[in-house]
Amino acid sequence: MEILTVKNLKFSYPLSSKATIDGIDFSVKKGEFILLCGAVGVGKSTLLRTLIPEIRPVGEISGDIHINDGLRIGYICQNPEEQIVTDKVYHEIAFALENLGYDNAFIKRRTAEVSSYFGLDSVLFEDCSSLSGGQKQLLNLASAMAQSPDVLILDEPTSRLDPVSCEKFFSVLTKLKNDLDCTVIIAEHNVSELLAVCDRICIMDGGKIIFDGEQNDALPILAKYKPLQNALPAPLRLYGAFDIDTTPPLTMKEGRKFLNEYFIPSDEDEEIPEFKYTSKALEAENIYFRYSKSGKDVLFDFSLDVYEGEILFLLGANASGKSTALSVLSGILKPYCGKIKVFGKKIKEYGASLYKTLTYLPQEPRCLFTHDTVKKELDEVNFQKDSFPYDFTPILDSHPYDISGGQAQLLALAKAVSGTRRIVLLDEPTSSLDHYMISQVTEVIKSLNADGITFIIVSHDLDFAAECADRCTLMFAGSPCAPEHPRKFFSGSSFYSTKINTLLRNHYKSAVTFDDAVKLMEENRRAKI
Amino acid sequence: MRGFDSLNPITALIYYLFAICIPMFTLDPIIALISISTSVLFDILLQKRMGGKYIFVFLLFLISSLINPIFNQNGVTVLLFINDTPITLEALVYGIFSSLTLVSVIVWFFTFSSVMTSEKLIYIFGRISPKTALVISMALRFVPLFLKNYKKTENALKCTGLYDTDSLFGTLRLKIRAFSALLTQSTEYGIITADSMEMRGYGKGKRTFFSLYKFGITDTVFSLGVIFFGILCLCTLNGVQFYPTLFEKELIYSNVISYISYFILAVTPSILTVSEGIRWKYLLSKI
Repeated sequence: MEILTVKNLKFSYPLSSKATIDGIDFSVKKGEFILLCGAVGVGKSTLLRTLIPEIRPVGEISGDIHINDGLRIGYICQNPEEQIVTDKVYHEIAFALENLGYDNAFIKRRTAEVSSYFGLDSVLFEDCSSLSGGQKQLLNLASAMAQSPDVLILDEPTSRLDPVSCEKFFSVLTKLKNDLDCTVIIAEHNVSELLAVCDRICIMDGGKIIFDGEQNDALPILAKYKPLQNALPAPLRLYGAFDIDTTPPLTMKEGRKFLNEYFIPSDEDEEIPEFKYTSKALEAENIYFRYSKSGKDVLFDFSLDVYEGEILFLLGANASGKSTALSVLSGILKPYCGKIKVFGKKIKEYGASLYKTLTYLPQEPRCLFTHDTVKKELDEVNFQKDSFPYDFTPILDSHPYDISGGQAQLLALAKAVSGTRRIVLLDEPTSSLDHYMISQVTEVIKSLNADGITFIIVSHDLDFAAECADRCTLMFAGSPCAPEHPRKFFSGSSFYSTKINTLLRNHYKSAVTFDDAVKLMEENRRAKI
Repeated sequence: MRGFDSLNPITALIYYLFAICIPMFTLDPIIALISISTSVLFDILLQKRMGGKYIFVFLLFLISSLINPIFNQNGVTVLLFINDTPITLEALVYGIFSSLTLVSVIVWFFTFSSVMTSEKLIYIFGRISPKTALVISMALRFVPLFLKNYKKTENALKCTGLYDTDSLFGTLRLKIRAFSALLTQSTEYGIITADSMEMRGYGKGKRTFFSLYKFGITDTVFSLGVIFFGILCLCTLNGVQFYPTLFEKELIYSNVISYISYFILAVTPSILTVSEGIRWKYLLSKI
C-alpha cells in the first residue's frame, strides 16, 4: 500500500536557473527500507525535504505530492549537535511527546521504553552536551522514534560520525527495520553498511532518479556506476573493476569466494620505498597534557618527530587523544610538561608569529569563515589562483556557509596554505565528506605536499590514510607508536586496517589501497576455464 | 522519611521561603543566631567541607557589621568618638545582628543552589508554564554550547596567523571577529534546531510538561509541618527594638516558643541529611 506518492515533481530554488529536482516519480510503500544514493549535489536532501510539508524548502515547486492523511514523519539530518533542543537526555526524548500533549504517565512509560531500546538508559539523566557524537545521533533517532512515526526520513545521518559510531547507528537502524517494520527512507553516501539491509535502492543523478529497483537488481548497476565507486563496499568495488559475469559479491565472505574463484593468490611483496626525508620540521619531546588538575593524562610521554615534506597520519580510536595531540602540537593547548620545537626553535619563542610558519585546521572548517563571500575569504589571505590545485571560480560569490562540506574544507585549506606556511595540521579533514570529495581533498593534499608543505593529519579514515600517507602511527595510551610506511603499517596490523587489505589479506598481503589491489589482481587473474 | 534532596521541588521551595524570609523580615537577634548556625551546618553537611567561600562570608560579615555604627548615630550608650562622631553600642549591636542575618541568608542560598538543581527549577517553572520551562531548558543547553563554540572559533582564527595576538589590539580584533563569526554560526544552527523542533510537533497543540517528580504523602506532611512551624514562629514573635536603648532580656524569654519553632524548622534539613547517612551505614552493616 502506497503511503506517499510523488508524480512529476519539479523544484528549483529561488534565484537559481537550474531545477534541483527535475521530474521525479516516486512512491513509498509501507514497511519499505529505501536507500537513496547519488553523488553530492544531485538533489537528495532537497528531494527528502520537499516530501515533508513542515520543512519544505522555499522555491518553485510543481507536480503532485500525495501524502496519506495523518502520516507522521520523523526526520533526522546530518548535524547531531544542532538537532538537540533541550539540556537533558530524558527531556529530549520526552520533547516530542510533550508537544503532542501526552500526559505524564504516558510520557514516562514511553521514555523508559525508547531509552532502553536505543541503549541510552545509562546516560538518561546526563546533559546532552556530555554525549559523544554517535550517542547524540542515537538520541536524535530515539527522540524521533518516540512519537512513533509512520515514516522515518534520514538525511545522511552518519556523515559527521566516526566509523565505530556509524556501525552502531546502522545496527540500531537495522534492528528497527527488523523488529518494528518501520518505513525508512535514507539518503546516505556511506552506503556500504546499508546495501545489505535495504529493500530498494534509488540512484539519483542530475535531479532525476535514474534507477529505482530491488537491491539484487541494483548491485550490478551500482558496481559499474562511476560517481559512487569509492563509496561501495570493498568486494563490490573490486567486482566493478573487472568484467566478470557472476553475482556481485557484497559481504566479505562472498568477496573472498569471488577472489578464490577468479584470482590466483600471490605473496609477492612489493618493496617499501625508503624514507627520504631527513630534516626535522616539528619535534615533540615527552609531552604530558591533561585538561584539569584532577583529570587523567590525555597525552602521556608523547614524543614525535615530523620531517619536512612528509605527510604523517595520526590514527587511533575515539577519545585516544588524537585531536588533543594536534591542538598541543599547534600551540593552542599548553602541555604541563615537555617541549615542542618547530624547525629547531621552541614554540614559546615564536609567540603569535608561530602561525606564520604553522597552521591548524579544526574539524569544523566553518569556524574559519568570517566574511560573507568566498571571494572575500580568499582576498583576506591574498590567494593566488595558480598556486592552488582547486578552482574556486564557480563559487566565488557564494556565502561560505552555503558551499558544500568538501568545498568548505578546500577553502579552509586554501586559506591555511597561503603565505609562508610550511606545516599544516589537519583534524579529520574528511569527516563529513562524501567519497568523491575525499578523493578531491586527497588530490589537493598530495599536490600541496609535492610543493613542499608538511602535513600532520588526524583521521579515522583508514582508506584516506593508506592513499596519501608517507608514514602512519597509531595513538595508544596517550602516545604514538613508532610511525611506519602505510603499506607496512596496514599489512602488519591484524585488526586495524583498510577494508581492501582485510579482504585481500590471504590473497595479496601487500595490497592496501584499491589501486594496489586492482594492479595485483590483474596480474594474477585465473585463465578462463 | 527521605533525605531533603529527594523532596519535591515545590516542597523545597516552600521550605526555603520560610527559612529565608523569617530571619530576613524579623531581624531578631536569636533568630539570626539560629539561622546562621543551622544554615552553615546544613551547607557543610551538603558540601562535606567548609570551602574557601567562608572567607568571603566572614569578610562580608565584618564589613557590614562595622558600617552601621559608623554611619548610624542613633542610640544612647556612646562607646567612643571617632573624629567627633559618636559610635554607639546600640548601633554596633544592630549592625552585628543585621549583618548576621544578611550572611545567613547568603548561606541559605548556597544550600539552595546545591539542592535546587536546574532540573528542579525547570520543574517549578513547568508547573506554571510549560513554554517557560522549555525556554529555560534550551538556554541551559545553548549557553555552554555557545561558549564552547566560541573557544573553538577563537582558536581556529588564531591559527590563521592573520591576527597579531601578541598585541592587545590584535587580540581584541581576534575576539571581535570570533564573536561575529559565532553569531553567524549560531543563526545557521538555529535554523536546524527550529526544523528539528517543527518536525517533532512543536507548536502544533497545547504543550504538556513531563517531569519525574511526584508530590507524595511525605511532601504533604513536610510542607504542612513547615507552614505550621513557620506561622507559629511569626505569630508568637514580639518585635525587638534596638534604638534608642537595647531591648530587655525579658523580651527574649517571652519569644521562646517562636525561637523553638524556627529552630525546628531550620534544623530539619540537617537532621534529615544526617539521619539518611546513618541509615545508610546501618543498612550497609546489615548487608
